[in-house]
Amino acid sequence: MLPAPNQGEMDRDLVERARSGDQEAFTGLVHQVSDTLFGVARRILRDPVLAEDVLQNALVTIWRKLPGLREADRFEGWSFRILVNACYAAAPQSRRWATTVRVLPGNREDPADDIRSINDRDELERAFRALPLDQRAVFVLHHHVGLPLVAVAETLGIPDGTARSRLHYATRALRAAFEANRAQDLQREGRRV
Amino acid sequence: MSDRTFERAVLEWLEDGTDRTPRPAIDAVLLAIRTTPQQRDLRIMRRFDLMPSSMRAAAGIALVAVVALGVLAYTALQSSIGGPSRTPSNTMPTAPPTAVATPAWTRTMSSTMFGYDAQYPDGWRVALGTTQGSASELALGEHAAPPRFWDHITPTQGGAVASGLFATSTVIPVGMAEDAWIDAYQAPQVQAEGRACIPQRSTWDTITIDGHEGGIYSGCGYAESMVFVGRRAYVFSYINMTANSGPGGTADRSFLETFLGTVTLRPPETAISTDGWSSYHSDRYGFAIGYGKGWTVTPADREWSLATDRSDWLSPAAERFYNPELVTPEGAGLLVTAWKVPWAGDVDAFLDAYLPTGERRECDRLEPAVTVSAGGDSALPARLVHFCEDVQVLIDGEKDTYVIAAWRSSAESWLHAYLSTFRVDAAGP
Repeated sequence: MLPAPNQGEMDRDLVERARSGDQEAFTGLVHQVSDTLFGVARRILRDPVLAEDVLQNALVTIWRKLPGLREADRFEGWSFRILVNACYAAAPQSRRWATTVRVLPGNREDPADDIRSINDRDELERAFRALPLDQRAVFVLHHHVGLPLVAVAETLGIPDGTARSRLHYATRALRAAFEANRAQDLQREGRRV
Repeated sequence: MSDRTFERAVLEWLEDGTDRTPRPAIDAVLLAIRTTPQQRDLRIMRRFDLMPSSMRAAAGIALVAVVALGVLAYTALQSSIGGPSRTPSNTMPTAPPTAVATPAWTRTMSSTMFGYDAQYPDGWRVALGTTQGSASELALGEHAAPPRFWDHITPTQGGAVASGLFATSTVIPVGMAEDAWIDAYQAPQVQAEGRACIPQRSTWDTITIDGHEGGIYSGCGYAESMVFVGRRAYVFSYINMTANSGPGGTADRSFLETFLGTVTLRPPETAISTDGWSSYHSDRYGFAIGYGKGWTVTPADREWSLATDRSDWLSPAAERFYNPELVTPEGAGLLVTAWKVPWAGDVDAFLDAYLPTGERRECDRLEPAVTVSAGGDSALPARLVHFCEDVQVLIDGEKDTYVIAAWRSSAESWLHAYLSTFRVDAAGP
């Protein structure tokens, strides 16, 4: 019995085969990476419908360009870059982004907590949507995917310092929005006392 | 505030939702790669932002003609019901028993934003619009991302094809005639595509949609229908860039007619019944207003003031009605608030103070305002105003101004429901 290949070897094998035009291998690859890529696109764009479209475009682009990928081990980062570029291409930067917040479970004792939590997320959502896409991409790749900043920079093809500053600006904007919102809550609660 | 509090809130927000890729998206990709060669500089048509005029103008080559799925469904359907009808019935179409891999029109959608119900084919998906647009906003291109002025009903497997059904409605501004509104809607399209592709109203054929007489016409790669119900204009389009894209094409029109045969029109202004609502009386502000079952009432705990509260959407100075179960196209629970402003008459002047010119954004649509009635038997003049994040009605109570706000731009129907129950105390507060 042959030893089962580990995940990395299997991925590499799939990438190699897909690179040479094996559609079945690419199908396997799609099943392995699609959820991760969809999650990244959804978080950057804040719109699942648009993220779905972007994912489709990115995966087709990945298929087309696969023969040009020199090192199969770099597939993940390479695919992230294609996905982020697809996000840049799809997002209507000149238009307003409508607020989308999710309904939270209403299981808190004080109904005001529900509204406050929704408001927290609403403010974070607004602040994030106000960010340029390049800052959002760095933020998501670092905090959601868990890539170190050096890897984020390499993935996006930008200098380390640029990645660091984009993350800094994104974090600062979110923190400012969050703290302002909390301060408003506290002020409001103070009035009630 | 600690870093931990912030980090926890951010991570909870960031990790919210599911990352499961919708299966149809994967299927569409796997279908596309069958015909997509590698390493060739073949232009892949992006599944770009679907909207009628922009698509008509911009769409070129469709790489994967999977839109045939819907056309096949229609073709099979027509063969079973004897061809297209100029005046479609309101019976739900069904797939013929002999159809091969053709979806039936069994899916139902309800558009509370634009005020209609309809059926659409299996295997298609719906992305609801988020905002009611002006004539020119409807005519200009939009992206798949919000704000969407149209409902998008598209083939799930149409990943590389710009086709689908699009539906919208909007209130015609006071003082504007229907023909003037149509001109405003068509003008940008005529400029982009020429009059031959955008038929004038005098050339339209008549069609009956849910008992209302409207017009239907064919353009270049699309068919479109328009009907007016009261002051509301409904527009329904079917785009098929893979089919007859010359002036006067008919294939698309038949498909649209089938869709229109399933449509029930429910103008948002009258869509929500207030039967069985409870009444809440605001002793602080001197008015009564109804609220429905499932809504939580939080009374105001102080007087509303322009300086303190005008930018605080959760101000405790407002009577608040909250329903976490109601999901709008934006996905949020609904909050309706009502309060009184010590501002006598002249709503325009109040608007200037309420939202100064320098703070207004493109999406704040203060003009033209719509006059509505409030106050029951003793109707009060009021203005409906669409702000970026919400819709409000400003009621001129002579001595004071009353405000009712529904905190999502898509919640206009709820605003109208609350407004219909609003009564100012006869003797004042």
